[in-house]
Amino acid sequence: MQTLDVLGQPCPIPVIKAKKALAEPQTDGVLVLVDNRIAVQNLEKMAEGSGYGFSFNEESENRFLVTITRGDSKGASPEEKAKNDLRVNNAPGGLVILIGADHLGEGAEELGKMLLKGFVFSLTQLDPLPEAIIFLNGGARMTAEGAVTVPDLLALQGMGVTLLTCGTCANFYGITDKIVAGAITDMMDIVNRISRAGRLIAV
Amino acid sequence: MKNERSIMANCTSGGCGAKIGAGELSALLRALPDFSDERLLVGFDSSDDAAVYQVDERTAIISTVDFFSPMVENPRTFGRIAAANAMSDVWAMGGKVLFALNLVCFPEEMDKSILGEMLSGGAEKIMEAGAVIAGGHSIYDKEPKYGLAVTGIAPGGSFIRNDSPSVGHRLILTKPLGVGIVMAALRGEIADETSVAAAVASMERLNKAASEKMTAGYNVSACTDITGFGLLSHILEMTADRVSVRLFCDNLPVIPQAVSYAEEYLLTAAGQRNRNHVSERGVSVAKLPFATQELLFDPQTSGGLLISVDSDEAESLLLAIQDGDPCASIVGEVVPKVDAPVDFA
Repeated sequence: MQTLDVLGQPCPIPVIKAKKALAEPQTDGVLVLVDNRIAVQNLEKMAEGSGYGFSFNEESENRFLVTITRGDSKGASPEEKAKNDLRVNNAPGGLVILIGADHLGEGAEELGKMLLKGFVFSLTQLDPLPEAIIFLNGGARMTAEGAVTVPDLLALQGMGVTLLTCGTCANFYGITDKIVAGAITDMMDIVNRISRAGRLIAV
Repeated sequence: MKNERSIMANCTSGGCGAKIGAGELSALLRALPDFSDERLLVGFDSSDDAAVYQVDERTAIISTVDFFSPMVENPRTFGRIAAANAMSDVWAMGGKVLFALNLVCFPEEMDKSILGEMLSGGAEKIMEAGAVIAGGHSIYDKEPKYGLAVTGIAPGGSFIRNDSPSVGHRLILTKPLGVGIVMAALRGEIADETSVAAAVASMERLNKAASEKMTAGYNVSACTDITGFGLLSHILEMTADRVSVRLFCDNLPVIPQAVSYAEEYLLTAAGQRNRNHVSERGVSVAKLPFATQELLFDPQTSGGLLISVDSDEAESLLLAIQDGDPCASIVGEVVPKVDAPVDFA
């Protein structure tokens, strides 16, 4: 397991570095060396919120070794545990749709945009409905104020479909405060959701 | 960023987020001798924003001091924020700022033109406030720090305390929350420009206009300014164990990006210290969304005023304040004391 030495580095640097290490595809966890209890608590909030295992060892008054593990639900909230149990048991979930652009398919862009609007409308007619629709990169624009897809997305939301927009993407395009359909989320949540989806359609 | 022109490079924490925790501080203050002078109307025994000393029947002096290390890279911006922040305590008490003294710590090896910029930024804001700089004091230190000792006056000897809200009054917050979180995201080089611009504009904004409006004939029972201790700590201080507050979480003014940054755990140490302090005081935030919790604990540098005003006058005062501070919002109401000092609607 990788060890991050962030002694002397102020919050939120320890959390940012730990998140980055935990986002590596093959990693099973990370050890973080920090010099104060407050940084330990901030790492704990991140670990618990993301459903990671968390523990720490106070080596001295200004030296704490924090262990964060992926795929271990120890220390996670009940919902996170349930999520992890699902993942472990491989219980089949519903349909999850990943929309990674503001158009559908390759070719004329104008056509691609029309097709995506039609695609989203058609989702409203699906039975059963998808469990969640996740919006990434250019797809983030589809949940923002003024997008042609918003009315259908709000209808889907009203029928209980979870809509999630990638926070980094919305932030990148400067539309975070304009997201009107569904909620904003992070990559770890997205990865968790697609990994336990019964079926995943990426467009 | 580590170069001799960077004012933030050597700083472990900046702005009001570097304040010593409210809990730690009050324990130390209790150990100091009790001073008694009947002309000292407000001293540190009441944890108010500034000291108030009665000179004669018609005159009371308001005195306050604030300084911190940089929370932004631009020295002039830092100077503006430091001055807006230092004067704020006088406005929180409904006073008028008269003059200020500069307090400066600066590294010997750093380019002195940076110090010049810092002081110019401060002077700009003192001028905007209609006050004057009367002098100051400077020493060498390994990291830059700047602030001011500010002297004001309570018109007609009357002023507004921070711990006397009346039951039934509404609470107006004049600036958006999230400044600490946006600055944390900036430190992590993740913040977008719009959010940083909003945070800087909010920190530079003087609380003068809002203060003048609340003292223009409104029935205001209490006022404080939000600092590094965060909104919830200040509300607890305001209740003074005599009343409770119902907070309208949906009405909290926030810098929009701060919500997603909080969800990404871009959080400050000071915010966690505030969380620890508040949880010891019997307030449970567990039912609130995580980002809302963090915004309530978020350390604000040069934060807004929190004004307790008669419910019949709240809308009218709000409208007046929104002309200049458009984010202002009614965020809560003062209710008779119940077990929890703060609950959430």
